[in-house]
Order: sequence, then structure tokens, then C-alpha cells
Amino acid sequence: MRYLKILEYALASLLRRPGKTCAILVVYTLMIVVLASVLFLTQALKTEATAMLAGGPQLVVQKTMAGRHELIPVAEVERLVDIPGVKEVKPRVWGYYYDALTGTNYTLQGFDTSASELSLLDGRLPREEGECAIGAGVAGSRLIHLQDDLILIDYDNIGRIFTVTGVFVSKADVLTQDLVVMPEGPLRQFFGMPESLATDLAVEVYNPNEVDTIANKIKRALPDSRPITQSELLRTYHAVFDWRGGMMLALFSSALMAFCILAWDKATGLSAGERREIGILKAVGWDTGDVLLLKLWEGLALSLLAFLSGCLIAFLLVFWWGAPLLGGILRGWSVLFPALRPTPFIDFYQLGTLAFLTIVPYVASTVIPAWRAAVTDPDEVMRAS
Amino acid sequence: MIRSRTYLCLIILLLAALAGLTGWAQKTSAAFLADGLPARRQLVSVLSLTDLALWTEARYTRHPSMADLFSPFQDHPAAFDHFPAGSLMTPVGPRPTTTLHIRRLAQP
Amino acid sequence: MNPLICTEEVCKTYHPRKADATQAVAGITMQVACGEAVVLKGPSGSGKTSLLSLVGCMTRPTSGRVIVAGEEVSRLPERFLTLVRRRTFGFVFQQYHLIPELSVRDNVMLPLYPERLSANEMGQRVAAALAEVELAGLARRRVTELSGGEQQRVAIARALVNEPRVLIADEPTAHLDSRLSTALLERFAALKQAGLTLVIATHDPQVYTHPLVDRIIELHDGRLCKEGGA
Repeated sequence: MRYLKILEYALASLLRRPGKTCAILVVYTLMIVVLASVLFLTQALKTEATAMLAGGPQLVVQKTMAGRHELIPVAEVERLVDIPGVKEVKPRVWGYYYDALTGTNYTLQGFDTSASELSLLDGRLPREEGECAIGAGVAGSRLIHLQDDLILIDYDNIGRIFTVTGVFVSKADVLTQDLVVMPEGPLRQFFGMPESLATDLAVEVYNPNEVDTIANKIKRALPDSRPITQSELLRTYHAVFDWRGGMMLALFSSALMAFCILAWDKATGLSAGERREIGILKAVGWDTGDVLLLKLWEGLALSLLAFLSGCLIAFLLVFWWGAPLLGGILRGWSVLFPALRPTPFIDFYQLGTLAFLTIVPYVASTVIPAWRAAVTDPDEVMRAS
Repeated sequence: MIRSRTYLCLIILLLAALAGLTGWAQKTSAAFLADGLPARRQLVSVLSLTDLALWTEARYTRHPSMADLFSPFQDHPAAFDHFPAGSLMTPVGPRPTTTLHIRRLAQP
Repeated sequence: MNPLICTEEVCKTYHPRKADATQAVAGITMQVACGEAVVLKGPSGSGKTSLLSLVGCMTRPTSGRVIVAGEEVSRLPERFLTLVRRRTFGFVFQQYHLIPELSVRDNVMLPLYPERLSANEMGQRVAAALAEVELAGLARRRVTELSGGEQQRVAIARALVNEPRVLIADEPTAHLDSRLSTALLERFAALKQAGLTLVIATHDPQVYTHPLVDRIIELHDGRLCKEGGA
């Protein structure tokens, strides 16, 4: 009951300065919105990327020459299969295609035609020469649909016609937006890639815990190769999203600085009026604990409201409205950029840290300056004011 | 005591809203993990994909994980990033004024 | 009969370890009986306000003892000292020390917040205190809108709201004209009649010559120089 009554007084005290209180509340809430939005979006993108790409190859072996990526001889498969722990080695054929008509880059991906159909594909996978499946971005940029023809210019400057047998659904945009998928053989012909070469090799191992050991063995067996483990692959995306999140926060740092200056201004001392009020409260019978509780409520009331409102707004902005402002800055761009529909993966530890780092300093900046006046005899406080 | 009651009601409301949204988030993410993720993993596995189709404009940034050693986010994490993974603003996109419509002639 | 308030060789020095140390009260021994009206008389700087602060548990003595209702309070922990202050004493300050942004009602309610009272009970106590000083009609007005005399009545209501045993008033007539001073003293007389003990610091003859005063204690330079009946 006492706590509620002192909360009542604290709220009345805040409402006595409505302009200042509102300004602090708005700035504080905005700050939380931006910080929480960056956290939510970064976490969602990282988690989704990690979850999806964990289905990919455990190890990819590239050949390098003069520091750059080169096509790798298919014969190396035999050497790699002999390494203990290696379950399977498959050559991958893929490459890029620049479409001058739309100014976009496509990724042409070969695949094994014995694979089963995919649920995220409208239509079917291409099985024959002259067929392809395309991503929604490709379909949209070229204005083509199922059973339409896609014309691409091959390595010999000859136009090749591919019938679209399947279009990937928009749910899979983030993986397939720029893809043109066709059987490996026709893709080799399109690129003019000899049968003896592949873009790189995908390696599956028996024990996922031994991937790093096997990568080292591959590096010793093929000194000019570059094995890339799945963890390195996923780490790249963590780094990218963390980097972009950090960049956003750096841009935001000026607003953060302004807020810190505001808190510092509060923390460096009480005004004469505030000191006098504490003296009066002590004189009429409030003890030190009551006064500090009052100040705690003043700080907590504002910061808790700002934090909860900020998190709520950030959540809605990111997960319901697709992060209209922040998303563009956070994700970068490309001509065929997929629509941002982040799945709500929330890291409560990060939210807790955000709460701690925003609420505690603000409350401290409200309570600590009042400490001295609160522990002083009321007689001295009132004489001083 | 009306102010304190109003404030506490507001806080409870916000907490309830957040709890509701968190519940929705858990449900949605669980549904994604249960339904959406297996399909995407199957796609990634069948097509042997290693990267997301996010930044397709530079030679390597469709596959930042596959990029050359001296590229950003590889062995030199302090390297300056390269567009468009590091860009801040979307440029005006290309607006092609030429389109091709292909119609196959009926076989005689 | 045991006195309600007793001081034994009580001293108060402000800023004792600094160059500007000031001894405001030097070894005063005095007593106030229950239901008595005692005036502390003396010129400015004689230590009246400091002695009131000591008696009213607003500050601790540098040396000596202060005994209230048979219990020594000078060495009590702060929490208990505050409890004694809140439940035993009601203060009317020379400058009133009202919070200007608050209404009359909110100012009078201040001493009740730390008590275990419901909102209803608080409302009833405030209403009773305002009725006592005939300010019930101005409860929602801001104190800055009131005259000096009305503000002082608010200060008195605030001092009475916790139903104290002792009312301490510091220069209560300092900002009042003679008509208002007379009205104030009549009010004090009524409170004394109702059983309240009064300790008033003043150098106003209108106060210390009033019939309600039982005893006058004269101070000079922080020392007790004379004590006698009114």
C-alpha cells in the first residue's frame, strides 16, 4: 500500500512537469524502438539464415589459383573420397549470368535430376535439356510464367531457349529469388564448361563433429584448395548482419549521445527546488527510504513505460509491417532483392540486456543525485535550500 | 490513487500485449521450424545451395561465404565492406523499356 | 509529573569540522510538560529555530540528550527518529515550506503517505484537518493562489493531519498582520484546549504576552538566560 501511495506521488510529481516528462518519454521510447528493432531484425535474419543453410553441404572445396577461385577438376573427387570420414563427394556446377535486358544477375544452378520434387516449387523440376525452373524474381523481371520460354545467351553468344517447368514460390524468395535451375549436363553446355571440371565440390562427412579435421586433411591432400565448412559459411552471415546492425547503431549514436547527455544532466545534481522538496518531505515525516523509493518510482515509471512501449512498437514494426524504414538500411539492396518477411525469432537474453542497459542507468541517474539530500537531516536540507 | 492505478493498468496492458505478441512469435517460429523449415532445407539440400539470394549485384556477394580470401567477411574481418552488402541506400532501380514476349509457333 | 519533552545539556554545532563551524545551541536544559504552551523568546540568531529542530527531532544534537515521552531520541536510528517525528510532532515553519505546485489538499496529505492508511482514511484525515482550519472550501486550489494567512492555515493543517501530540511553530506571526496574528493565536488557544502541547519560537510580543502562553524560555547566543511564567 505504501508503495502504491508513493507511486501516486511520483506520478503526480512527473505530471507537474508535463512538457519535460513527455519529451523524455518520447525520446526514450524512440531510442528503445530503434535499438529493439535492430536487435529483433538482426536476430531474426541470423536465425533464419542459419536454420535454412544448415541443410546445405557440410563442406565445400574450392580450387584457388593466383588467389582467386578457379574451376576444380572432377578427378579430385577420387582423392577426396579416399579420405577417412568422407561419406560422399559431389561436383557442383553453378555460375552467374548477367542479364543485360533487365540489368540483373542470375545464379544458374545445376542439380542432380534424380532428386525428388520440391514442395516450394510450382510446377516441376526440369529433367530434360531445354527446361529450367526459375525463382520468382527472375520470373518477375522477365515477365514470364510457367510454360513460358526463357532465352539466355550462352558462352558462344548463342541464344538458348529454356522452357520454364517450375517457378519457385515467393515463400522461398530469400533462397531462390535469382535462381535459374537446370540439369547439370545442359548447364555445362551453356557455360562451355568441360566435363572434367566443376565449379566446386560438395563434401558430406559421416560425423559432423569431424568436419574441421577433414577440412584440414583435404587442405593437406589438395594444397591449392580452399575447404569451406558450413560453420564458416554461417559465420559469414552472422558477421554480415551483425556488421550491418552495428552500422545502424553507429548512425544512431548521435541520438543515443543526446540521451546520455540528458541523463548525465539529471545525474549531476538536484535543482534547488527538488532539494527543497526532499527537505520538506523529510520534515513532514518521510524517512530516507521513502524519499529514495519516490525517486526510484519516478525513474522506473518513465523508463519502464518507455521500454515496454518501445519494444511493442519495435515488434510491430519489424514483424508485422516488415521493418519499413529499418529494413532497407539493415539489409542492403540488389536489383532482385527478395521481400523481407522475417520470422519472429526473439532472443530474450538480448532483450534483457537491453532492458538492463537502458532502465538501470536512467533509474540510477534519478536516484543517485537524490541520495545525498535524502540522507541529510531535514533541518540542514531546508537551511541549504 | 487514480494515477497509480491507471499507470499500473497501462503497464499490465503493455505486458499483456507483449506477452501476446511473444506467444504469437513463439507459435509462428515453431510453425516455421515445423513446416516451413523442412521444405527450405530440402530445397537447399537438393539444389546444394550455400547462400541466400540477398546481394546479387557483385561478383561474389551472391555467395559471400564462397568469396575470395581477400574479400570482406572472410579472413580479414576488419576489411571495409564492399557494395552492395554494405550500402545504405537503394539506388534507383533499372526500368527496362524493352520487353520480350516469346510465343512458340504451333508445330505443323 | 514526567515532562513530555526534555533536553539535557543539549548542544548543536553546524559544520563542526569546517572553518565556518557555528555553535547554535550551547548546553540548554529545559522541559515541556504535556498540554503546556511554551514560548522560546529571543532575538534573531539566539538559537530558537535550532532548539526547535532539536526538540522536534529534525536534527540530532552534537552533544547532550533529547528525551520525548520518556524515551531518549537523540541516538535513535534514522528510521525510528522519523517515526517519532511524524507521530509526535507537527511543524509549522516560518516560511511555511509548502510545495507550490501542489494543491491545498495534496500539501496537507504529504505527512500521511508513509503511514499505513488507505486512500479513504487519508481523505478523511485531510478533510478533518482542513475543517479544523476552516479551509475545506479551498481544498483543490493551488497554494500559490492563496493569501499569506491562508497559506499559514494550510501549514497548520498539514502539521495537524497526523494527529500529533506537540505542535511546533517557528515565528508563526512573522508574515501576518495583527488581525491575522490574533486569529492565529485564538486557533492555537483552541488547540491547546483540546490537549495539544505547543512550543512556539518567536520574538513577537503579541505572541509571548498572549494568555495561552504558560511559560517563556529566553535564549541569547544559543544559551538559556531566563525561564519563567508568562
